[in-house]
Amino acid sequence: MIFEAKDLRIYYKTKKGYVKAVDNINFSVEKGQTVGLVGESGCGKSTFGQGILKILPPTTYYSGNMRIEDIELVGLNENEIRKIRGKKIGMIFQDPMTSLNPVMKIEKLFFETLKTHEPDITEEEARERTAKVLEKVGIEPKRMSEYSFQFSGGMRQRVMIALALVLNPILVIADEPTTSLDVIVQAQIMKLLNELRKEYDMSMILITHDLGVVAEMADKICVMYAGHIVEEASSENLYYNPKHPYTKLLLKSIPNTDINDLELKYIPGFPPDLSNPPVGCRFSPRCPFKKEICEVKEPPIVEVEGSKVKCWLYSGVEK
Amino acid sequence: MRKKFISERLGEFISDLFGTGTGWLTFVGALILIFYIILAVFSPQIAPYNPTERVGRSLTAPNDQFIFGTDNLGRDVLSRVIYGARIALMIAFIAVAIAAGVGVPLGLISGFIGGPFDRVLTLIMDAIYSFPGLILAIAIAAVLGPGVINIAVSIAVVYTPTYFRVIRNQVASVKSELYVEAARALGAKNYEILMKYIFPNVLPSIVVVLSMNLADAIMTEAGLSFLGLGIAPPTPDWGFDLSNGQRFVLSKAWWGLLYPGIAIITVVLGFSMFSEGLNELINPTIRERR
Amino acid sequence: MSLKSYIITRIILALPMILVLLILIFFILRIIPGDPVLAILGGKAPVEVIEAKRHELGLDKPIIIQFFDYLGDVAKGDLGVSTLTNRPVWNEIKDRFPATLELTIFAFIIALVIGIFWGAEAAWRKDKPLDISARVYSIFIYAIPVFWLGLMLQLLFGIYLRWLPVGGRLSPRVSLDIKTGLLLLDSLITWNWEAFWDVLKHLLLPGITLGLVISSIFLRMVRNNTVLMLSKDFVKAAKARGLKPRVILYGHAVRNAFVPIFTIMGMQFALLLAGAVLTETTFSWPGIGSYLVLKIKYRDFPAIQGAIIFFALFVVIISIIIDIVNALVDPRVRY
Ligand SMILES: Nc1ncnc2c1ncn2[C@@H]1O[C@H](COP(=O)(O)OP(=O)(O)OP(=O)(O)O)[C@@H](O)[C@H]1O
Ligand SMILES: [Mg+2]
Repeated sequence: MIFEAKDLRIYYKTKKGYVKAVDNINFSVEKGQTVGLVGESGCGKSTFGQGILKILPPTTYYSGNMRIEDIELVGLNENEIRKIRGKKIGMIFQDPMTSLNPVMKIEKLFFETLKTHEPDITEEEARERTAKVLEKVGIEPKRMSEYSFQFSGGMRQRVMIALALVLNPILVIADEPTTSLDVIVQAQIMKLLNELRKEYDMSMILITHDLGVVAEMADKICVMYAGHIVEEASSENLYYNPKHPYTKLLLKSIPNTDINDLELKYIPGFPPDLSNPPVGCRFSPRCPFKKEICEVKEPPIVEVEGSKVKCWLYSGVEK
Repeated sequence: MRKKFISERLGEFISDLFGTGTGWLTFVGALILIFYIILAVFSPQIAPYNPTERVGRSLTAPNDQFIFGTDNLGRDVLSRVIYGARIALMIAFIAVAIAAGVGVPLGLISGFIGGPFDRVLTLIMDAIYSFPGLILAIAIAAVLGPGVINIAVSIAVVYTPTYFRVIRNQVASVKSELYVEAARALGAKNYEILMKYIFPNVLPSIVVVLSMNLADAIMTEAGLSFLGLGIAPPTPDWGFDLSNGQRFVLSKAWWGLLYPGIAIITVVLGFSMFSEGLNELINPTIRERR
Repeated sequence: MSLKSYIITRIILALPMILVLLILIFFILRIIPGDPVLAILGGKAPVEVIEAKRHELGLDKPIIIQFFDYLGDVAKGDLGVSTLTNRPVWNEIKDRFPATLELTIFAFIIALVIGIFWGAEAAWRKDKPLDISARVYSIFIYAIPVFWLGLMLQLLFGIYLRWLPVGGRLSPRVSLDIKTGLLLLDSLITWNWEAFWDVLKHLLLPGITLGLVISSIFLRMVRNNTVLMLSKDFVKAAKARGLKPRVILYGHAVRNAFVPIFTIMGMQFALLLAGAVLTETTFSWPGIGSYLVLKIKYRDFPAIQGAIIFFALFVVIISIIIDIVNALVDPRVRY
């Protein structure tokens, strides 16, 4: 196992109290796996992704365990975790426009990253490695002396990917890597990510809204709702045999590729306020299959036909 | 780009520290202003001595008789500081009145008429505006010579473009608003449109700029008189007293320097707090705040 | 656009402004004061003398011709002859300019150092004591007249503590070969350590005075912009790559915070010059500012005019330079 989170809680501290953006989740990534993390906006996906690297505001509260290889992350101080960031875990952000410093040549971004983790590296070596990784993502190495705003959106995201890979991390977290791009470019970037993951023999956590995209790429998918992981299943299981009512609704809301059916379906209602989440199952206020117990007690996670589901509908089945 | 008034900057600094919407700061500012206005108006009644007469030994350190000490000519520093408020406030008010009195009508007309007249005037105003204010005031004060009005005029020239620019730009944008168009369609005369529809619209900005301008005028006046370009001695004047006091730093006569300076600083702070509050009150939305 | 064509465009755009400024100065100094000859010679000079002087100065020509003569002279770098010293004004200004330059550069550096470091650290520790003290400092510094601050520093460090001299640029007993006129530089290139320390000591008080006064603006701008930049995605991305806090703060956040700051610097420069006039007078610093004040005392109009023109051109040139630096720092300006 490359990465594992156990009973992980990540709470933002705000004036109104704690925002329980990640609340008691268990999550793991095997070597070479791609794990998808899906859910509506605001359910805590990015919080989890960034929480792994502990780049959330300094007042953020963490508890539970996170392990990358044999290193326990939750207890690490800033100086120790810094050596993990970029080196063992690379991160790709959603918007390459704002995530690349506009007043720096892109080579500078690579050099400073290399220099930070490998202080003895020579200028030439750094240049060579940058050229190599840029080539891998399909950018002419000679463009490394340009600024990010001179690149198109898709090219910029390639730069971001190269930047995340330049230190050969064992895990890459891609947080909605294609959301800001055109549809065609989205597909290219996803394909590239998949190829590179294989080539670099990494594991990947792929965060997205888009169930369609992850289903193709991910070995395993975790569905998040309001700070909880409500369903964990292999892509196939999730896609053809969803268990949790939320997953089912989420799948229905995928826009159909059939042009004649342009109608988008939304899940009625809104995700809850995470500083004061509903008692019991957090999805219960919006759940069409709600039972009495759902509003009283938090459901346990149970295994049903190879999937793990956090829902009272299945609690009787196994036991 | 726009130069900022001292009051405006100080207002930013102050609201950085205390947050916006601090009514009590405006209140403190107003208190300081009232205090200095009272000093200025009633200086003969308040000041213990005649400020231009020798009343003690030269360069006496502060003591029970002269609580701020005496200057090199044996004049009471306290009385001079009190009388100094007169000159400072008088010149500031006159300068601001002239600047507004010239800048506002020009801005109104220029913005309203437009065309080449507007372009030429704007270019001239921009040139004045780009010039370092104090140096411009120095040049004009140098040719005009001393005197309350002359100094006020020198200062006014520096700030006229500010009024001009603020008003002109507002007029230019108000001009195309619907109700102005409607008034014009109904046959209202230009003069009527200007006075009835446009002027009331720009009035709040004028008030705010006026109030903010005062601290700058006081600072510029202090600078001019420090350089010997203010009103003629022996009239008490903070800036001049500071330059006079500097001649005796070697004798460690700190009191001649400390008190006029504190007077300038408190007046500037008072005006700034007051105008910042006024500004928030009148134009809560116009502020550009980061 | 290449940097070169950007620079050329920028200079061409400045020309009308320079022309209007020159007209303005001509108007203020030639037309308002009435008769400059009377000002030079005093009211009681005989008529023939006045006429002769009038002719000598070209004042008997129509005002338009006078104006073009004046423009031509300025374009040739001829600012007339001082009526006080009979030396060409341009030469006098050239002699004194390095002192002003040295003072303003030194002050600018002090202001930048205070602004950048205090501003950056305050942004990093937002709402902590270091940040709050920065705001209190800004308020007071900005309400204090520069010459009064100078006087207080003089009193404290010059008179009471006797650490630093209260005026001038160089002690009379110290010798120094003057090459550039920037004494700090001159003493360095001639390896004259004694002179270097002496010059530095003279420069400290006026430099700090002027520097402190403009530092509050920089401080606020750096602090606020850095706070803004620290919340940007690229800072988070830099953090995610494991960069050190110092690198993130100075290499990314402050660096980007500087982009808008450069554009505002032009305005600060005008403030700096006005401050320089007062500071030079306070510290008997032999630069253009104290030159102007001195010449006003003696009503030396050609010199006054020369100094004012010089200041006007200086401001325009600096604003061009700042725009160019801006284009260098922020490549987006050029493209
Ligand atoms: N710095 C913060 N302080 C307080 N609350 C925060 C902060 N950042 C995010 N949140 C809250 O935490 C919750 C989870 O946010 P997060 O960004 O992790 O969601 P997400 O699933 O990534 O959404 P999206 O799909 O829109 O990116 C949201 O309710 C959000 O409002
Ligand atoms: Mg997100």
